[in-house]
Amino acid sequence: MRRWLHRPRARIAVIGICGVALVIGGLAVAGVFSTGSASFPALPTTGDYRPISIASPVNGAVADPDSMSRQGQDLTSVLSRGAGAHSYRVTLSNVSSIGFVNELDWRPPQGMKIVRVTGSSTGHCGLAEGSDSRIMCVGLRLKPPTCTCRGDGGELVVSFVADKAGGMLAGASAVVAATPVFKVIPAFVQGPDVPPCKPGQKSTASNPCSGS
Amino acid sequence: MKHLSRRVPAVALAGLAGAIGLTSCGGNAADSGGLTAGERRDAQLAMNALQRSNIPLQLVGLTTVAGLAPAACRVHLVSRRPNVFKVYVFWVPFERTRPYSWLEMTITKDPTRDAFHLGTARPGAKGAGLRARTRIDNRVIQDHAGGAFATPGARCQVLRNGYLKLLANP
Repeated sequence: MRRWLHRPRARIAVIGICGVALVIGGLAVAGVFSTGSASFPALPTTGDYRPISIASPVNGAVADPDSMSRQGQDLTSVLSRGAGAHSYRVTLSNVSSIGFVNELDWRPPQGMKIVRVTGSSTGHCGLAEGSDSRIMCVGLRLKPPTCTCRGDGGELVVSFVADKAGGMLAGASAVVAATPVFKVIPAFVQGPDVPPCKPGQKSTASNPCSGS
Repeated sequence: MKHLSRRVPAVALAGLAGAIGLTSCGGNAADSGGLTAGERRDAQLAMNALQRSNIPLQLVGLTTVAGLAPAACRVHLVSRRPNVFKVYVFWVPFERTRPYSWLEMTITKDPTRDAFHLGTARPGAKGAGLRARTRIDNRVIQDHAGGAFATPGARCQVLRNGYLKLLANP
């Protein structure tokens, strides 16, 4: 064995084996260390993990944007008469799945022009600058609803004076700024499962069953 | 053979040290956007921590309302130890009469410390030509970014499921 090792070819073979062992060892060490802070959590790239895209509307099939409603889905508006002549109030409720509403604007129904804002239940509301008759409210913190199906979010009442009534329509409101919440706001409430009624059993409030 | 038996452990040790050195260098070296591999990993983990939250729903919802994919998505490393990131996503609406909207998030690997803000602004480019509109859009994107485009940082992408993905810096 010793004699064999003294041969030049044998030496080269030993060095080669050691070299391969070193490379494998080095890669193993690199693998161990790279699973620490330097490794990158890769996301899949197919299906729902592809970049978001929206199909563009067919040319010529888009409605005139000025004819579209400016009412968003995040607030509900109820317009009612106030105490004095030409005085009105609009009640705006947070029904959004976003979170807290911090700023909003409200446009009266067509034909109604706001003369002045006389008060608000929270925040600061006033006539917005510009040619369109619009109430702008800031400094709000209207809480999100417990479920978008309940509509029990925070409420804002704005009192104002207008030149004339706007009919039955409640105008259009839109969220301007909001604080999204981390927790998902549900769109429905899951009720407890009710077991099927046994033969002869009647459903009662204390012992409900279905199909009696 | 004596020489050989002395050299083998020395060469092996040198190789080992080299491998460790190379690996640790890769972890601390910053990319062209100024982020190290560790910081990129933390950024992606912070965005992954939002996956079960309300945020993906809002990202998809805001994209649907805008009628266009986000015009900008940027992740900026705000502070280190712990790594805090600002994520800025901005939408330019397809319909020019609709408002611009943006979602600003300050996130860490611990989502209980995250903060979110949704803003909107009325567009001012109605009737302008395409080039002028693009210029105005870019200005509005920058106006509300609040340093999100500064380094260290990287671009990001909103995925179809509302998740956020950090993109590689060129």
